[in-house]
Amino acid sequence: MFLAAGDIFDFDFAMNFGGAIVGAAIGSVVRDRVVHFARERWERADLGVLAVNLAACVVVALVFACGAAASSALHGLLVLGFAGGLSTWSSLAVDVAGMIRERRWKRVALHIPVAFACAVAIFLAISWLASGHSQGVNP
Amino acid sequence: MSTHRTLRLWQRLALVAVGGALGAALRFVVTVALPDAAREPWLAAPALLAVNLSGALVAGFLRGILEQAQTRGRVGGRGVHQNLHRDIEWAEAFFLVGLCGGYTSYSAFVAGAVEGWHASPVLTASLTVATLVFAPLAALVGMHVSGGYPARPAGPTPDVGRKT
Repeated sequence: MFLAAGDIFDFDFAMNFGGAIVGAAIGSVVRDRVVHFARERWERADLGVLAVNLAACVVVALVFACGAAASSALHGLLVLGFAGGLSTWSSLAVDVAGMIRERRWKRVALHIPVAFACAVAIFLAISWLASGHSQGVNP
Repeated sequence: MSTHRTLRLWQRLALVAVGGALGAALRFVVTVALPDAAREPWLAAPALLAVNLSGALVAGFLRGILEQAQTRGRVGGRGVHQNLHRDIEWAEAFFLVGLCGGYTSYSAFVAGAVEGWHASPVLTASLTVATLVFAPLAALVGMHVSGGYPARPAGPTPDVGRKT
């Protein structure tokens, strides 16, 4: 059988899944408000999407660095849920598709390779800082 | 006097929250539950690629549909405009911002790229490049298929979500 009941309905799964749903609801609302703010303030919703995507990467990197991802509930709530709901590929892809149509290549470069490089750099920097801190505490 | 019947803020936030939760639940099933149940954890990364590409495709399609509807509302009569505007706001908040936004995930994509690099660099690099290249193209295909091109694709829909 592909899906056995014991594989799915265990406590860790329930905590992970429940946390993901609650976290995503909160993250989605925060994303909507940030994008709305960017749209109202600068008439650039894409900058709001960029901001929430990078912020979500910070959240995930912090959770991983602090070791909180070991807890199913926290992993579900913060990583799968909040950061997953806060960040988005669909809005980014639609924005970039529009930029491609309008041949705004600098904006495409900002939102695809540059944003990805920044996100990876943020992720690695936080991991590095966290590992340095833990070495200082427990040499 | 305004001819728009807009959603109240709490209504919009509720739609976004419910849509986001449903989208995340779908993503969880595809990228966590199914690979775990199949006892093939490595499938999580390709599953996330499928999630992000399909989410981008659907979002592009919905954006095209909503843009077409907005255009119809602008040229239609007052009665058409009143109801249509609210329907567009509802659909945009629930399906586009909530469901598609919660279904796809940029943070999971970046975390997967960083974490997967040590275990399987070739697979990770392939999936990363595929996502970066094909997600925008999937949205573009969705727009084409819907038959509606956004009037201002790089920016927001001008009056959706705004109090009038």
